[in-house]
Amino acid sequence: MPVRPRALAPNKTSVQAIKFEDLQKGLETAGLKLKGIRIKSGHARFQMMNARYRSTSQALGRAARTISQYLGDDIASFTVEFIDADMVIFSAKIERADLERYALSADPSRAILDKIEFSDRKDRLEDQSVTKPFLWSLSPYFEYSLFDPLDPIRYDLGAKLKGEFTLGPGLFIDGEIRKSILSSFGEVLRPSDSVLPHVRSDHAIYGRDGDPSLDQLTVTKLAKFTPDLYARLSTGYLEKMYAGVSGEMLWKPVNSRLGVGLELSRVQQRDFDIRLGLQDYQATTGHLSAYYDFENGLVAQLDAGQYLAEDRGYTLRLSRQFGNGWEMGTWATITNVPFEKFGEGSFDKGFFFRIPLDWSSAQLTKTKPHIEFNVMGRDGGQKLNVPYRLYNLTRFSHSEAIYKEAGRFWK
Amino acid sequence: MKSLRFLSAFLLILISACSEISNSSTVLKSKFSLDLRKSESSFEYNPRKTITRKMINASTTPLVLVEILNSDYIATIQSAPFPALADVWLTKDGKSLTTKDGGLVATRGFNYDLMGADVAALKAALTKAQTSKQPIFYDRSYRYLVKDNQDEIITVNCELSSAGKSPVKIFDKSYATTLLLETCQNKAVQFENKFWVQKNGLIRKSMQWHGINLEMILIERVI
Repeated sequence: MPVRPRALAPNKTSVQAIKFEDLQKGLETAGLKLKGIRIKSGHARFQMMNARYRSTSQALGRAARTISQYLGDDIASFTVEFIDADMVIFSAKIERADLERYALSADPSRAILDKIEFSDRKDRLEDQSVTKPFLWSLSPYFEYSLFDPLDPIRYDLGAKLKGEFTLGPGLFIDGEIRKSILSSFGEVLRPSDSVLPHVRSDHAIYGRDGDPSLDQLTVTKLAKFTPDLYARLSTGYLEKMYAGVSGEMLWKPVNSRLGVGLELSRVQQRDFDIRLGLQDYQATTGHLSAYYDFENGLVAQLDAGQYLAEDRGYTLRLSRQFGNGWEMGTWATITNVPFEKFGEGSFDKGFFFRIPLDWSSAQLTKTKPHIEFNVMGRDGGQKLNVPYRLYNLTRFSHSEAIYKEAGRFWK
Repeated sequence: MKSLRFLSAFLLILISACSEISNSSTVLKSKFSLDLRKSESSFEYNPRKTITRKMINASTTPLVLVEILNSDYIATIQSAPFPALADVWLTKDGKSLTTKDGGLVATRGFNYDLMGADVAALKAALTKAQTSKQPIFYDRSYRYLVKDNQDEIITVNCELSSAGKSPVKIFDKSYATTLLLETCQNKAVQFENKFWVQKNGLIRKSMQWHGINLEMILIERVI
């Protein structure tokens, strides 16, 4: 979709001609879901969701060019705000003169980004879109376990049913049920001999007994306290092994490389059949986290706090996303559990990579399969796998990420 | 055997994930919207042999014939039905080619796309060269999106000169034009563009450099 130039003599009444439905249709074709519009004093403001693009830079470029096709000529600038999880993730003010100047030029792609004003915003416009309160999906899942000396490759293939019911702005209940179809997890090859509370090392028993399983059923509230302060509160069956309540806050301005988060959870271990029952073990876990996005694509995350076995220490996680979307990283956790008490491996560590599907296919998709190798995971240094962690909402949508893929703005 | 099952399962999930996505593209349906590979085109479907002067005379929609000379791509493309900063020519499968005053400034959907180009100096030179006997010198820049989503900007030094009157025939119709030759180079690339320009300034036919991958593109202004 190309940029539409404004006429030399703007039609003063053209503001009235904008129809929400028309722009909504145009943006939908471009892979974006329009949520709200406000036009005031020669400036237009649009809130929308990116439903298609892994690259936020590409999504923003598509949004800007599509909007230019529908906007009246008397509107000299407009603001695009991307919404995720019912929160404004960033706001980008664009002058139409800049769009017209750089759209077909040979200037570097960063030139247009330098002209865009990125800022944080909290207020939502009235949601004019039609959104179904209940959404569901049925899809395959695949889990694996590698490097066990008794069976180096173990797998579980099946179907998962996911559902989400919206209760209000940023408030929803969602869950996931799994049914295994083909699995080699049916036997516990090596019962845990950990001297710590068995917070993770009984995972093989969950794999054996948990079929079908209620992997998650939570009520979640997401909101922004201030334009750059995000908050989450979740309660219910938070993950496969734990139920409880978890709260998180994240400070992350859109133009800052630094983010700081605080998470605190009180959880109780779930029964091995992964249904509604709970075991006796309870724990308080939480971390103070610092995130830093380096210029070369490297992101460092340092967590300090208390882990599921109520051991205390810190985790350093380093990852790097390359220009083509591939991401790889590693982590290590050191806690006050002595190496000999931790067991084989001495401390928790591993590596992971994510592969963007749009890298290998012509289709545009936000999907990035996550492949993680936890080298000899035990019970020390284990974190809760709570859904909707806040940094994931901002990491690929804030200005640093947009600049890294500047060339995609015009794609 | 277990490894094979593991691999099969992984591929199954990958394929399933891929199949969820649907991508819509603008489809322009027209008798002139022929967009095909030369190798696939039989006698009936080659636009040069399918489109007749009679069909062209009966239409008023702007139309160009585009041929990528180092590949088997040939297409007749109509102008896009929406306003833009320049002339956007849109194929039925969503590929586009953009020209400004006849100069190639952008393509989309061609694998190795030209993201933007500076043609202001070319336009001024084309106007001047029709009456000037002296060559005209200027710089031009081309912007590409290369691996890792980074820009690659190629700047070349160009020289434009007239090669005199040179009539062209497009779908059996002759046009009086002047042939202008543009030679451009830098340390890494060298190419020659050709423009057949009518008296009113319209570029009726051109062979223009797209980039190091697609190289030369032939553009004939049919309507």
